[in-house]
Amino acid sequence: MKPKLLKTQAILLLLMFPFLLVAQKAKITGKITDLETGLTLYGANVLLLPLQKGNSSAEDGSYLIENVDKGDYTMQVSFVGYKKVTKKISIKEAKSYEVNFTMVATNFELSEVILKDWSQKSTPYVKAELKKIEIEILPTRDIGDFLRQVPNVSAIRKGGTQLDPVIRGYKYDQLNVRVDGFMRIEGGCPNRMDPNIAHIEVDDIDRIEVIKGPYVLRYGPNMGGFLNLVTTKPTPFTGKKFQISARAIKGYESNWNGTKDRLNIKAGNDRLYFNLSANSQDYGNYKDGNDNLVFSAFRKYSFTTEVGFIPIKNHEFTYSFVSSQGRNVYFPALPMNERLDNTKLMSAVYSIQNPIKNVSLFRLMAFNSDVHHVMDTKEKPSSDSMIGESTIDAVVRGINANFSLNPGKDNKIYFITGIENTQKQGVRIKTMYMEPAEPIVPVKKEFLIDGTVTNIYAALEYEKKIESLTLTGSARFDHNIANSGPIYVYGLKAGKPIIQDTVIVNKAVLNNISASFGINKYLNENWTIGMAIGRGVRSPNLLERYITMLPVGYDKYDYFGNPDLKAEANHQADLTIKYDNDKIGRFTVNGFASYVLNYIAAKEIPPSQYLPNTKGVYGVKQFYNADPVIFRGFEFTYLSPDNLNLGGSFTMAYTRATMTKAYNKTDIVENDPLYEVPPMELKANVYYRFLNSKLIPRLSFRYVFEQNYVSASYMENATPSFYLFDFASAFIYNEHITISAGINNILNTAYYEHLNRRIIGESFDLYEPGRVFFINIIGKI
Amino acid sequence: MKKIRLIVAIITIAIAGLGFISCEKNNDFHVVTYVVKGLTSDFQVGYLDENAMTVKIDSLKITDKAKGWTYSWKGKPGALTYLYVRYKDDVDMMSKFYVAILVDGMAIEQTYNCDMADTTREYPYQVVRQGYIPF
Repeated sequence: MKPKLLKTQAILLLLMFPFLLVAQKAKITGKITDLETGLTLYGANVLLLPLQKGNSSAEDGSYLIENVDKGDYTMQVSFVGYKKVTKKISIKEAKSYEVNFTMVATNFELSEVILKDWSQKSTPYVKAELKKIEIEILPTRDIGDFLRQVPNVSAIRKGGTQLDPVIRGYKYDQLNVRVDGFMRIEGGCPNRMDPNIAHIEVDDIDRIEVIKGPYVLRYGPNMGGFLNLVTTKPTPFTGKKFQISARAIKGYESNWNGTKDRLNIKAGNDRLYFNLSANSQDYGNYKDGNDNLVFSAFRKYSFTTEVGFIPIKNHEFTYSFVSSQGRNVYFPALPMNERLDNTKLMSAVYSIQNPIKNVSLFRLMAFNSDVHHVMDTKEKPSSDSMIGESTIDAVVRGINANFSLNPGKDNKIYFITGIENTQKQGVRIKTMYMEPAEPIVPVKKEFLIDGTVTNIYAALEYEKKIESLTLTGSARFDHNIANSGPIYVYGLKAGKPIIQDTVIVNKAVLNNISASFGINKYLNENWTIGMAIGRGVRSPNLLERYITMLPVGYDKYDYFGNPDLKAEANHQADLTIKYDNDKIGRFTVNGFASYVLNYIAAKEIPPSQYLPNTKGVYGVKQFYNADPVIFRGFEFTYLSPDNLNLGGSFTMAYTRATMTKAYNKTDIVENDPLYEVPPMELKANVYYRFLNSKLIPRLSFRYVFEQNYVSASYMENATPSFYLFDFASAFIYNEHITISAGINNILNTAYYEHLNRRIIGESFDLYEPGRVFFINIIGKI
Repeated sequence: MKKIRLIVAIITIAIAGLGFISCEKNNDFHVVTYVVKGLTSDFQVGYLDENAMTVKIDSLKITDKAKGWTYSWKGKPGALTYLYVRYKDDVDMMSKFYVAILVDGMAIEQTYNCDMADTTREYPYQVVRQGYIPF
């Protein structure tokens, strides 16, 4: 035993050797704040030159650079929307140095947008961040479409807008989508014509955080990935004097003949301040690369009012109200069009900074999201004999208490507990015209869904920095209670509507435990390695539990809910290696693998059990917990050094997902590819900086490989490969005006993405827009 | 600064106002008119009214030849329209038979002939037209 023990000790000592070495070096800490508002800045990049060693600031504006040798350095802090700040520092001994930075808001550095780093250095998992200015200078119509530029992120297109994001093959409620880290929206349409992200106006976004994998758990049940839509917030001004600033955008896109307008006003003083926004989008139908018209027009409006108030020092109250509306949004790949959408979002947050020792922040948050969604078949081919009109109301209410704790230096703990309730009710009115026997127009009322789910939760996240090592851990518990009124099983028998069954639902209770652990290590000034493992669990959603006879899936089947579904659990591991060199550039390689238990899929049930309710479908499918599904994939990113005038980037991403056992009618299909997973793709950008980075034109190339790894059980079709060229250029005219313009799909290629749905009544998929010229003008006073 | 504040306030109100007005576009009312002309005998009609309810009239007669039988109502874009006519006359080109659904005076559905005939019935000929007020 003794020699074995000695051996273990020797190995431990050897493993700890690098830490003992780094302990002899200095570290630099500090805080980054906005000069005008005094607010801390989250996500600012701190770089130590000429070492190229750096970090980004945390939520409280603090940063840490460790393992610094003696010598003279220049510290450089950059952040989109702020002027770069540099400071000289002389490290003379192995101790902790504190260097704080205040930054002045200005026009953005275009290069930071053009030269996009898709993964952050400080996290052991892949986290990408998209900033407001990127939304403003590109022809951005909606969030799902915008997110498609992130490697391994795609989206399901059913019309001109409101694309549904897919991250590494995870989709729908497998992704935790939150507004400002806490608000959840439940879309109205069972067919997800209005996914939750569609209810947030893209121009109201300040930044979007994309976390791939089940690693951040405090914001909600996160099985496959986390999307945080951080909206523009009111911030206090300096001094008692009333101040005002405004920002306006005018955008135009050819092909769609689409316009977008935005006006944002921020005003107030150091105690009371507000943020007022109005947005409008009016787009026509677009033409694809074959010059075919795609019925994809839409009109959307939104108004936002946000008020902030500081009653006493360190206390802040904010209230936000958003009204967003959609009118006549066309979906050629769905059986209905969105006729009207009225969404109201309300939130109130009370926060206290440093209320007691070791508690840096306490927040009490409450929200209410209310979606009223009306859709119909009035302009669909079936409207000559039957018109269906569905009205869905989806309400989510939540309240939570949130603590940020600092129990000692370099330790952070986040604790959150709360309750969330979701209610969804929907009815469809069918008016059947062609009833020849009597001159009476039969009207049928069908209840589509009438369910409620309550989630009571507590989550803990821990972060510890030990020299060049960052450890993160999180755990989450969800107590999920779901219930529904009776499920009426509608169907068609010899073309006549009937009620086949009435299912009485019992209350379903699920207790889910999620956890994750990550480790990030700066090996030296060039190399960083990160590893994360996690288990993310999510309960079935209301649709998967209680929907009755609607064609809501990828394939041509009526879908039927299953109240007895178990929770889906993803077990995932990520390994990320980063190399950063100021002469060569930045390389990032990530590999991941997941093993999903109780994957929620659907399989056909025999006609002897239930008949379908929709004309022309193959039958009825019911949701069930499938055998394990395995995901694996990689992401590779290269960015040229950012000190060169001529530069570029390259990304490559791929996900492959397999159902170990699936069903094609009654036949078992082993190792069937999972449906709706995008193929491998690569992207390359080349740019040149003119006029001291005030004018940067960029040429982009995108190649998407053929997707022939397709699902047999979902009757998925293969998708051919394609390539595209885009051109965009942004120009800072002066501090008030920025203009961006460009051409998307320069070669007018006729193509469709693998995730685009098929056009109703046709055998082909929905094509993407052909060539589009765009111009955006951004004004600021 | 005061001027800027005033300009910003005016722009805000204007944009908000324009937005609301634009949103109300779908709420403009349109006049739907059902028309039946060219029948000398009595006939039956069924139609959807402004409340989307089916109204059935078992016997009607045209009193004004030029105008025919008409029924008008007001509705918003998307409101359903439906007209069902059963009649006895064996109409031909000279009869000037005409059945239509008009929206603001423009025909969205119309016919000059019957859709089907069943001579065993008291009112053998039948026309059905349907649609909705365009968006």
